[in-house]
Amino acid sequence: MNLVVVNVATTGFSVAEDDVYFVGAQRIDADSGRLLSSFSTFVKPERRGIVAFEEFTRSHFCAVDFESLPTVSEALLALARFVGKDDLIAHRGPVTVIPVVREKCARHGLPVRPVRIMDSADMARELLGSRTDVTLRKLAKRFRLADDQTPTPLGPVRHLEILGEVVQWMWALLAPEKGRFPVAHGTGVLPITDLA
Amino acid sequence: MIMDVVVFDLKTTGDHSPNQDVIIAISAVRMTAGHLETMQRFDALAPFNGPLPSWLKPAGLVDAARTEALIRFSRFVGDAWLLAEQGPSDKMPFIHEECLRSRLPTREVCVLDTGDFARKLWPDVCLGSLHDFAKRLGVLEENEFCEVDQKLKLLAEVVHHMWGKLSPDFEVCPVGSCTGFLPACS
Repeated sequence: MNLVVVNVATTGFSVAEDDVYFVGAQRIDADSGRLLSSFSTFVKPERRGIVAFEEFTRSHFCAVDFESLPTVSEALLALARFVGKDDLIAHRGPVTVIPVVREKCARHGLPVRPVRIMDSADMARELLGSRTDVTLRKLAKRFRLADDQTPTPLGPVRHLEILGEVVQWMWALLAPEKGRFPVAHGTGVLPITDLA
Repeated sequence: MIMDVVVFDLKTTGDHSPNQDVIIAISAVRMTAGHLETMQRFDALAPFNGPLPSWLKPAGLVDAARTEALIRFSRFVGDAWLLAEQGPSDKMPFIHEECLRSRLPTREVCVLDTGDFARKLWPDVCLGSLHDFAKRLGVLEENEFCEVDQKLKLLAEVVHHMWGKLSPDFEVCPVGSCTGFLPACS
């Protein structure tokens, strides 16, 4: 059984008005906790001026040549191909990643398929208690993957790396039975990659 | 498009995750062409295995099974658009997940987010909550707080003010919409 940890980063908090600028994923073997493979790409923004967006991204994370990047449709299809038949985990994924993916697929006419998704924040609450602050930064500090010197914001690449490591730690500590999930899963969507 | 929206709010068992938490109450009111249709109000309370939270005042809420409450809510909405605080991300996933769990067929509905109105009105100010918007609009005093059971009224007032500032004739929706899902009515 493999799990795919997903991060989809957007330019703001609005599902309707903001753009996806990064899509990334890590495949983890649920039995060994080993990182098997990873995928990530920055995405050409749809609506913001590309020059302004490059400045925004460079000042926050790293220099990116957005003109050469895939569109959001291409990036989501590539993500779906990478995920294959595996299940997803994302941090607050059902209310962050999935609404964005669903909306972008609808807007770009991409047919979708259901995919099972767990929320790593649910895993953290299961481990640490329901009143615990389960922001990724707090979890990263708890698992000694970040400290007070870690830059804010993390940046989407580092966010994905830390999320992958946090999930591996939590999965090992929760130790679900083989083939079982440690927390309830919901239903998300990914684009259908093979229409034949 | 003449404004025809249903402003709504959900109460859930935890506000955390649609995978773990369930809807326990739905409240909604219709707003047409800038007028709050106070006679067209929807309230439903869904049962769950546990005590009701102390802040939830069930007076006026009609008790109904969760799926029945969602179907009735969908009928109440009709062809209107939905509008809620963080509607597309924090509210609609709970409804959609409940439909999937209950194997209810769904229909598409346009959904708006109060946050998009606020970001359009005040692009350079970081405002997080409904209380922030209400204080900015003068609907709430600086030190005033809204009781939980008054939240829908406050939400509707804030929507009325923000929409009116961005589109005074209420004929154009001033922000982008998303696609959400409600139970199919038929």
